[in-house]
Amino acid sequence: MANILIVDDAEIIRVSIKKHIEDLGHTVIATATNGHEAILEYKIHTPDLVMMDISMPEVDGIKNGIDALCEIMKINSDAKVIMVTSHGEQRLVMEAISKGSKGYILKPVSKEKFENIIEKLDL
Amino acid sequence: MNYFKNFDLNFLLELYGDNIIASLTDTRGIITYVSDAYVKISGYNKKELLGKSQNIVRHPDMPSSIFKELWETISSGKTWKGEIKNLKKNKEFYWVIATIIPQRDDEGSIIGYASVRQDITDKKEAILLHNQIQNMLDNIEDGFLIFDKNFKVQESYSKSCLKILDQNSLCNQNIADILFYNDKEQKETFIFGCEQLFKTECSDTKDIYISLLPEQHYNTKHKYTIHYKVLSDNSLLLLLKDVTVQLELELKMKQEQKIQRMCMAIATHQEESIEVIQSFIVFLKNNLEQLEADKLKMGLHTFKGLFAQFEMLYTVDAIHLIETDLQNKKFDSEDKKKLKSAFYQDVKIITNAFGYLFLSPVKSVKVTIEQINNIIYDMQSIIEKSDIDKNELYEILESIKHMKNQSFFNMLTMHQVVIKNTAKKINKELYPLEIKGSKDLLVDKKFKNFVMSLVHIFRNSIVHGIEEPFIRNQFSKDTRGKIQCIFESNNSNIILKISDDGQGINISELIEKAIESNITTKEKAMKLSEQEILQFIFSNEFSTIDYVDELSGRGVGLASVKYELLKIKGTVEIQNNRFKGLSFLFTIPYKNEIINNSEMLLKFVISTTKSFLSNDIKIETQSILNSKKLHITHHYSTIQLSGFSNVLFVLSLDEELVDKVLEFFLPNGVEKNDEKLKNKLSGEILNLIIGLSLNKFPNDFKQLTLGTPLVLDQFIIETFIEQNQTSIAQFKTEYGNLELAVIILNTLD
Repeated sequence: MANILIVDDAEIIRVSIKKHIEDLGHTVIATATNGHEAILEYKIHTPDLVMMDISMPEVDGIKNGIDALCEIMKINSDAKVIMVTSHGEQRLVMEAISKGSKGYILKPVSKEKFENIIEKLDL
Repeated sequence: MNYFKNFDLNFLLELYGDNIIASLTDTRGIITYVSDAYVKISGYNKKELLGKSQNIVRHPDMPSSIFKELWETISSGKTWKGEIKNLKKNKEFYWVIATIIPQRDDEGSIIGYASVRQDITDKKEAILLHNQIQNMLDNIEDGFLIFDKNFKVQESYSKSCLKILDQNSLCNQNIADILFYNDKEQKETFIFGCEQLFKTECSDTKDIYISLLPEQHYNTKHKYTIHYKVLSDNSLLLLLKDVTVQLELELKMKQEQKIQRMCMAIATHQEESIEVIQSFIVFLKNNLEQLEADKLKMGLHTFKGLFAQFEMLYTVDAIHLIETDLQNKKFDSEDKKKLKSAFYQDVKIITNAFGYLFLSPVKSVKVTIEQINNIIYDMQSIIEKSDIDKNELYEILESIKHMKNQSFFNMLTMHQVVIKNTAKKINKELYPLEIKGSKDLLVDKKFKNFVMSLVHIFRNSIVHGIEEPFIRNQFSKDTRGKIQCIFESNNSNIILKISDDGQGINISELIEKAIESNITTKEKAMKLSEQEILQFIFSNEFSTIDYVDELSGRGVGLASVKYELLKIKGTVEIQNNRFKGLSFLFTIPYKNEIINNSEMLLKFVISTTKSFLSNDIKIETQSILNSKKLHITHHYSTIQLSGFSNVLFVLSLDEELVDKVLEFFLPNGVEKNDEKLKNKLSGEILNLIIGLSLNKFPNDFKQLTLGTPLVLDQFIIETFIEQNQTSIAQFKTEYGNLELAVIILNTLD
């Protein structure tokens, strides 16, 4: 059982990710709607895993999910961050992986996709 | 020259016998000596070899010509060198490169031969394998190539690579340059991904990068898929598959399917499609370049919607492209040309499928509403006069009356196909459109444009309302969305409710977009009711989605629904239930559009007139007849009721009747032959009659404003009567006739 932080600017995606994760028996410890919030929530909760939308509106200099990822990696170099992404964002995902993200999920999200990636991470 | 004296040779063999495959034979080839290495490689022991012919290790694969040449060489005293395949005792083989030197005695006669061999089995095998692989690579259809950290293509690649990548040689070339010469962005992604992949040690991470690399690309000649595999030396293997033919075939199949769907749609809505095609031809004949920009856009957009309904292949795309262009420039003759050529391509498909007669107007007889009115009128008088079964005749009469109208239900059904196809196009799951309501509700053909415009409501529902199946699943909704059309009618309205069970509208997002599109400001929006905000979706140039596509999203879509709705004087209320669904509640005045508004109004006017004549003027009406034609005398006038409907009343009086009425109206001693007064009289009477009748009219008509009496030109009145729904009554009195006409003016047409 893992404590998970969900970061996405779209309500509908947050809700559906939350549903999947809880169905799989994990706990959603917090949600955030932008990268800035994500960093704050990470500091408070230190979740086992972060589901991070890759493109979100800029808040307080945090341009997107990758910026937030980098900040979180600074706080904890072992942080496990999974990027949530759409088609056409391959380049951004590569960048995120090179900056320490442990993997990615392509939208639309599904229970199977979460199951696979959480299994791989061995939480 | 003989370098190997017996002594030297024996000495050498003793020293190196373990390593050198050596043997001595006599002149006939009988083995006299073998080294340890010889024993080891051949698998025989020394006893088995000594005294046997050298042939014992001869492999059947070796052609005898080689041995012939060998013997000729050494027996003539020369040294022979060459590659020989030998047979082991266990029937396996080994390759050697052998040097055979004749041995001479002191007199110089040949006394035997010494052979030294080197094992070259591995090398031979490697060459063979290489040749086999190359052979395979040259004949395989797929492209295989390997490149290293520096993106340099390595030597061995399959010949197909050259063809697929349209190159003469690949060796040492930069693979990124070759693959993505025509796409900078893909090239950067490819280079970045490969660099990261080469950098990392973790094979899982390598796999992640591979999954993100481009999977498909193209050059001027070929389209191909790309698969990647990391090799043990950290180079990358590419597998390229040429999919050009496959894709072209798929494209062709898709095109063929589209044509079939278009023909199906047209065949099932033959009447409507021909109507739309004919009206588009009329539209094209307009001077489109001079048309007002808004009207042109609205017109084009409506036709796009209509043609999309019939899945017209080329016209829809053509209009879509022109619409996109029109955001930056004006409509010009070039656009018109494009429009025409696309349209005629579609027409060609139709005529190919159904023949030229399909679109020809000759095929059907056009019956005008006036003609039907005449038939109804004739029928009515026949029914009155005849003795035959009246019920039967009335039935026929009813069905003729209905020719002017269409079933509202049937009009709505035309959307079923479109809804199904639209949903399919964007992978939404949907139940078939449910239509609930009386099949007997008949409406004027004027409703048709409105009903057709509803396509935009349905599309919005499918594209923006109904969620993806997986999201619906998470919200514990049926994965298949539902769109419903329910209608009912009361005395004055048709209430049509179109609802979906999608996600509804996000009000705050809607306000943001409205502010962005300059429809409102933050301050104004604060004061608006939710309903007023929801109505924004009907504004021109408004859309809740960021991209524009063939299906919807130009915003003008819902605006044209509103436009058509206003034409038939309807109103709409939006019911938004966030995450549960969205409904549009249309209220459309119905009586206004039914066949005999004029007849109904006339009924009231007749009763007022009759009582006016008998009670106020003391003239008894002998008979009242329905008439088709209005006989306009010198004494006539018109008066108009205006508002949501415009009704024109005409009154015409015979001279004798005018005198009689005047006599009654004017006090004694007033000159009764005053022409001015006579001329005014008809207006006064009409004003009186209509004023009195107004109270009896149904509610809708009571709200209309009564104008002042006018004497319109006779010709204009006749034209009005000809072109609009009109009912006329003829009153017979002993002083002559009074005629009254009620004309429903369709001012918006």
